[in-house]
Amino acid sequence: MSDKYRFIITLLCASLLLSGCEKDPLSQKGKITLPEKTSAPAAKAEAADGTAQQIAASGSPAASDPGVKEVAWDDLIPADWRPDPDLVFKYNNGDIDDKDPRIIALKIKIDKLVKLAPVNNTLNGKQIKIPGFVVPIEGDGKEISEFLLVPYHGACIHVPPPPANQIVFVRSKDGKASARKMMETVWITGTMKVEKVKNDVAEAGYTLYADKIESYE
Amino acid sequence: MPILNLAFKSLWNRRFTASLTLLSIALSVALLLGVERLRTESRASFANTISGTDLIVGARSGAIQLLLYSVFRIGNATNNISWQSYQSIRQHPNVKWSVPIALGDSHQGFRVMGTTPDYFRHYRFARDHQLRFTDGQPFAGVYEAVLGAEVADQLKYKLGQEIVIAHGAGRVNLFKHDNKPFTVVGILQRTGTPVDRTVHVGLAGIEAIHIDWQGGSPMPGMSITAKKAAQLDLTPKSITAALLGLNSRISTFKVQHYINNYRQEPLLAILPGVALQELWDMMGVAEKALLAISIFVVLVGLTGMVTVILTSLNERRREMAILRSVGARPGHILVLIMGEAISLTLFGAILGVILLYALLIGTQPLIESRFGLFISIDWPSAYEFTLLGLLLAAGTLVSFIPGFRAYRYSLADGMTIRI
Repeated sequence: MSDKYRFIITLLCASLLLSGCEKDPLSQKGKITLPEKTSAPAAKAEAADGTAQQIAASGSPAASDPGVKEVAWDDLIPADWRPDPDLVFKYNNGDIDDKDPRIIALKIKIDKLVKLAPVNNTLNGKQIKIPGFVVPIEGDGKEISEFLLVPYHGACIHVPPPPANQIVFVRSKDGKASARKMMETVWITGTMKVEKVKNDVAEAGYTLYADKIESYE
Repeated sequence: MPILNLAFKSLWNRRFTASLTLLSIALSVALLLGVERLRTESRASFANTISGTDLIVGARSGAIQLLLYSVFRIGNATNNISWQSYQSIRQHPNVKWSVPIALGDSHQGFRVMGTTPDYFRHYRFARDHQLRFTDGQPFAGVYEAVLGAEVADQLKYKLGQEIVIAHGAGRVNLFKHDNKPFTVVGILQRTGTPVDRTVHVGLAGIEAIHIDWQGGSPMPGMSITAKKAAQLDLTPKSITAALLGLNSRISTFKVQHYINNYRQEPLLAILPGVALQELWDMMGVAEKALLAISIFVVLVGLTGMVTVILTSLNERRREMAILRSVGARPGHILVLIMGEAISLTLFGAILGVILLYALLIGTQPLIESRFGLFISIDWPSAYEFTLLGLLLAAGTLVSFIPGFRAYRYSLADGMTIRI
């Protein structure tokens, strides 16, 4: 009889696990370095250096898969681009409420900067691998074939949305590779395409044609 | 395998109790698979209903509620959104197309949806399928209507037929807009979505039938004829929701943020995919509870089977003794009893699958017309086969209980039985 009970208990545990709280492995491991609140230019420069090193490292023939470059979210911002750190600090600080007119004024200012926030054209056509969270767009109830990849959990609701160069629109090639769950943390390998700005209307942005989608853990 | 043959014949000899046991296992299997089938099919049905729409805009409420009433016609809107707000949203530079939706009226229990002809151009279902007409074309005039396939089928409507729209969303309505009948100008192809159960009319039509209404009911002495109403300004004052398509999917969050922080009116914009996922997450708990219950029912079925075999063992000790006398070893007795249990489980499973399909075929039209859920009848999925495999494994496992018992009896009793 004990075998049967074990079977039931395992089953219940499995279902609990499935419905359990969603973890945030990316931010736990500190993989993602969003612009720090206290981002002094020095710190930013350091990050840029790190990026450069990373590119150099993965470009070396010693890398496991020489064609694929592992990319961090910082790499999606051109290395030489800086928003006004003071403005960003005030905005991100959280002292001012989301509905406050001051934050709206700040938002307008930053929006202008963000609109300038260009994309990193060097990534165009490259095979890359990037981690992120899934925000579903198209799917069939089992699998999600098109989604937005964002650098942090809950990017869709609580905070002002991430800028255009911190969102990647992912399409799986012929629907083979697909994500399963909202806010699932995944590694995506695929070909990056950078859409250029043609007019005021369309924003520059990244589209990633995914070959492979793997769970982050 | 002569022993299995013997097990089979032994079962046949006790076919009444055996068939009852078989039935209980079959029912539990049908329940288990039915719950699983309903879960996956309802998900697929929901997910297939909306595609290609980037944002849904409505009055501020909950994401799931907005999704349910705007797309699935389940429940009611908390509030409308003003025409002015809709106009300023559709003029946002990132918005490529927009389709307004006005709900609140019905025809014979089917919801009436006011919209624009753009709806037929932009609405997509089941991964980029466009709406197609079996007959006729989109509405153009004020008093023209396009029917979903199910509406036309159930009410046997043809092109050119005049229909009367009623106020309210129930099956029986006391207020009818019977002075302004609509003419059917188009019938849509079946989609397997709530579109099939919807009567589509122009926004101007919705406005026209309510034009002589004041404060929520028709005013005596103020009735305006259909012809006169059509000449008045029929710009709607409000709509229930709007579907938006964007120029770039990258700008989804930006437009959503703009709408959610729209300062003239409390509005809510949702990503349909995200809201659907939230719905799954919410229903997931209930689904798991149902699955757990049906697993327990299966276990009850198996326990019942074991009980029946165990109680029969005492009566069959003579039978075992005879088998032993003709040369059966205790191992043979074990295989005999286990074979009975396993074949009961196996045939129970097969019967359960047959029962499930019979049930599906029988209730499919009912589920579609009652709940708007389209349950497609397919071969069992890999997951369902896994469930069946687990069932057989569990059946084999529990068959050891009576098996060992019989084995021990036959060892202890030998040829002489002392009861």
